[in-house]
Amino acid sequence: MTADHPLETWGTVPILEVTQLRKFYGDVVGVDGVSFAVEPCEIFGFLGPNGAGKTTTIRLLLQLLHPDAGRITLFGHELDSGSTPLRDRIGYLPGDFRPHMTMSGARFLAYMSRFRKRPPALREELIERLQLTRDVLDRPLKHLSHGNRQKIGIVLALEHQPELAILDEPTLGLDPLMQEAFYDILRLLRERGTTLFLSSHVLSEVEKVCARVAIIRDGKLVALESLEALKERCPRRLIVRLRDGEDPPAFPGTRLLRRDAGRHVYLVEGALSPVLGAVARAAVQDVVLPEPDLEDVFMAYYAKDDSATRPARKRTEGLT
Amino acid sequence: MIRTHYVANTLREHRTLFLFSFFFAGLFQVLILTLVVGADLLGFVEQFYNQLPPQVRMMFGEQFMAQFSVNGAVGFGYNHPLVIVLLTIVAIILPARHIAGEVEAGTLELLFAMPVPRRQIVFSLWITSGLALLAIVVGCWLGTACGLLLFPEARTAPWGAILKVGSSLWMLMFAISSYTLLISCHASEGSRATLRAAGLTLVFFFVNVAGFMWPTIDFLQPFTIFDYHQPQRVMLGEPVMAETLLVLGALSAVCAALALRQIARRDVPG
Repeated sequence: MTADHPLETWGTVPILEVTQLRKFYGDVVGVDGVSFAVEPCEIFGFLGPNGAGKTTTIRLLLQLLHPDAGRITLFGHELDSGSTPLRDRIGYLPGDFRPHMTMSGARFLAYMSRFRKRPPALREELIERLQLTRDVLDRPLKHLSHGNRQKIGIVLALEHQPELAILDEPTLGLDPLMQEAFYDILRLLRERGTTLFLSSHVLSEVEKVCARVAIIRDGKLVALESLEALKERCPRRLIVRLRDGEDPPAFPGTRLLRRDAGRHVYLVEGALSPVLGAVARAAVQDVVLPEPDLEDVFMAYYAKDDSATRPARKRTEGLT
Repeated sequence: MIRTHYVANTLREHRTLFLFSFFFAGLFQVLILTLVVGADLLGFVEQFYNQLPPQVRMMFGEQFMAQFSVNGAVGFGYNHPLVIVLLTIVAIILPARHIAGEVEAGTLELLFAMPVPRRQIVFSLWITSGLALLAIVVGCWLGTACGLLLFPEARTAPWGAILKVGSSLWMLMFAISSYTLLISCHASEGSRATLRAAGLTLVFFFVNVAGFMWPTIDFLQPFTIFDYHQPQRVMLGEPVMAETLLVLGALSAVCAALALRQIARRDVPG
């Protein structure tokens, strides 16, 4: 660790702290009472389906929106009208990255970086890692594919090696190979001292890179824990294959979620051992007890109370 | 503080419009002088004018015939509807396109996420509009200068007055640009900001014209910006420039101050 590593500078003080943040658009809830803290050098996942309040939170962090109530502390300073210089230490990629389409990628990067004091020290490295060729960079942005435009957005957000990178749906439009290259960039930046705030509705992406996640639902934070702790507390799934013609048995402490092609998927809501005992006594052909993944965690939070189940499920249709 | 690279980039983005306006405005001044000095129009127009009904003559104004002198022609060139429309387009497009238009396009979000105060961006845009309009007025001045070089008999026109009418035109257009900036800072769609600013300018224009046609409503004229741009009167030596500077200058400054206040307070929608 070098002497100017942010961990040494910040110690255990959170890079970003949000307290009771509240934003309404008229009568419509944007976010309501959201509180969390992001520690130095972590990759923090911010999860939620479309319309849950992820982008509103991010826009409040960047002072693009003004909160109705609550407090945001960035690098130890409470955000106010004099906080503009702090944004030199932040990299931002919007969920819907829309650059000046008439400019070429190279000119756009040169133009935008002149608004910052920090030099674009990582630009060439990022361009190389994201395989942006000179030909692509010299073409007007309006003639580029969505994926190539997104790569330019990533370069713009990270080229000045920010202390905090706020990335909203960063892999939108990237092919699987480029997604892997992007995850490598995130890990590399983290090693070099950048804290990453990653907002996404792509659960596999968050699971791949984030150690801690917050889940937002209808503008309220419903979970804020390490991924491991969330998985431990999450109800597990039990997949049972029965002999042909057998009716699915009702195992104690479980709920049958679905059946397809002879497989019966149960949700284990209580302790595991009585269920396993019952399974052993039943006429089953095969049993699988998969590790809970983030989708299970997410679905558990989104299906918690019956009154909200239907709209919540509707909202998760876009999840991958 | 002005962001010079923002100013340069904005001017560069609209360079075709600016260059066209610069040359058009300049050539138009040459054309006006050519028509008035090069061809003897005075007798024909005076005969035609005297045959018009008194109400229509009132609409043209008491100074109408005076513009067929060299001084009047110069003044007319800085008040002709074509020149006014062209400069108004430039005055409205810049602030409407670069605040409300960029909110709509999503590019302002990126700019406002940079470590630059919003007020600096808006102030730089205000200065950019002023510079672009000044460049076109310089085109008018150069056109007038060319006209005076082409027609030695026209050199009686005083350069001090020519500079004043150009300044008056610039002040008028800068005022239009300033209230467009204020409208744009409240809006989230470029087309809507453009329509509102153009609508307000048209209202000012027609109220001013109506004031000439119907003396009963001429009390409304001082509430329109066009009442403070009187190039023919300036060319004829009337002392109206102080009023122009005071009213249009104050309007521009107040609108810009309100725009800066508004941009700092507003939310930038996604």
